[in-house]
Amino acid sequence: MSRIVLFVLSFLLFSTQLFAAPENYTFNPEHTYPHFAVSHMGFSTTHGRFNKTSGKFILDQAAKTGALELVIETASIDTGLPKRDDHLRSPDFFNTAEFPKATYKSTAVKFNGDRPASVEGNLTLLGVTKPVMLTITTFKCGVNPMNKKTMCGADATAKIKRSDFGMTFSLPAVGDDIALTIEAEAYKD
Amino acid sequence: MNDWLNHPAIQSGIAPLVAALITAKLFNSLRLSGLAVIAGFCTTVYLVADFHFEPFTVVRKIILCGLAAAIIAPLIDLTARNGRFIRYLITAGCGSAALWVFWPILHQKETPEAAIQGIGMVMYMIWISIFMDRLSTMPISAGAAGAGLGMGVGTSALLATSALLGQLGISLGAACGAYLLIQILSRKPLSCGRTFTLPLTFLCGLIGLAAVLLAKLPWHCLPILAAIPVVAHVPLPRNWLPRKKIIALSILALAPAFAAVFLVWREAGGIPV
Repeated sequence: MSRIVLFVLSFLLFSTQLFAAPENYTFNPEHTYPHFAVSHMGFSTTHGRFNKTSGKFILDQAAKTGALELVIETASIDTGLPKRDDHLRSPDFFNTAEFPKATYKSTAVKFNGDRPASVEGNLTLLGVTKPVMLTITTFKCGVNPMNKKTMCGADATAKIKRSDFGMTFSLPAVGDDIALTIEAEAYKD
Repeated sequence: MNDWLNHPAIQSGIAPLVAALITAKLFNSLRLSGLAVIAGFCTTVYLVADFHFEPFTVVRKIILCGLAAAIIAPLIDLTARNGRFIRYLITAGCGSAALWVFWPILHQKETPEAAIQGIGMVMYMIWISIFMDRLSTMPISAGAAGAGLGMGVGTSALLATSALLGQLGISLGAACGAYLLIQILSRKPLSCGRTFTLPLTFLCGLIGLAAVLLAKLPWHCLPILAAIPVVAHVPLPRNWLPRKKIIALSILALAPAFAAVFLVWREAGGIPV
């Protein structure tokens, strides 16, 4: 009996490793938003987000590999105040007419156990590409109970300096350090 | 000190005014007082932006055009070339500059829209260059037109949500104000030439276009701003003192500037937050 159990277990383990393939996921724009926080003259922290983001990721939990590509439409910036959003779209900050997209492409995904813990990659903003590491704070894959589709969700954080990307207007009144938080959900293709 | 230098009024008003005053006075004996414009502008660029050209954005291309015009114009003045060929060359240069500077924006648009905008931009720059170039032998009129254009373009851009373009434009107005102030105080006209008008043409023209394409300046403000160098041609009685002429022409040149600013204020609201 114990030999049979051992055989079944080893078969399952072997077959998982043999047949586990990279899975492709597409981000759900309705649940994928990059948020940012920046100091306003040191008095308070202004928060905002980008309303239009798209992208894909590949995940192979068995091989512990992955890849991520995220495209942010910079003109979709939203801080809750239209006049401020217009200013943020201007050449003073995101220069959205000239640089309508910001992109993030991973170069490596590090795992903690069977789940991704951090992503190393390059962020291209305002035509400047710099390495940025995303720390994944939560990660879960499973079946959406509403539509029964397989999906993964994650929260990730990163810190960047806007001056690294040539966004120097109004420094130091508007802070240089930007805290990024990304909430993301993606459906399996 | 840093707090002072970070204040927008110092960056785009006082600092370029002082730089232009010093430059206009220093270089008058060489007949290069017109360098006051680029001196004032560069002071503001140094304080609010930088002289790095990587990545080569639209705004950085505009700054480069201004610097190039400031180098080429004295050479034209010093070699005393004033033929028809030079005038055509300047006009063609201004039109080409608009296409070169704004190509990254135009090539993202559908062909018909890009063509309409491209033609409009070239026509605007040609218009400004023709009328500004005619002022190159009239220091008072050129100064008044520069003050009107700089203040008009700058304040309009500021209300159209780009403080950077606004400050760059206002610095040109402040520099021209300094140029006029010396003429009021000394009661003598300064040297002008294309050293004064060419950088002003490139910078005011391109900043106005950038405010439309990159910020929220309504396009119909541009024809109003384009009227400024035209009204500066109004002939005034010859027996008027320079001071009286400066005041009269400044009022005339600032009137369309105020009209454009009022229009932007009606449509876009107050200054950026």
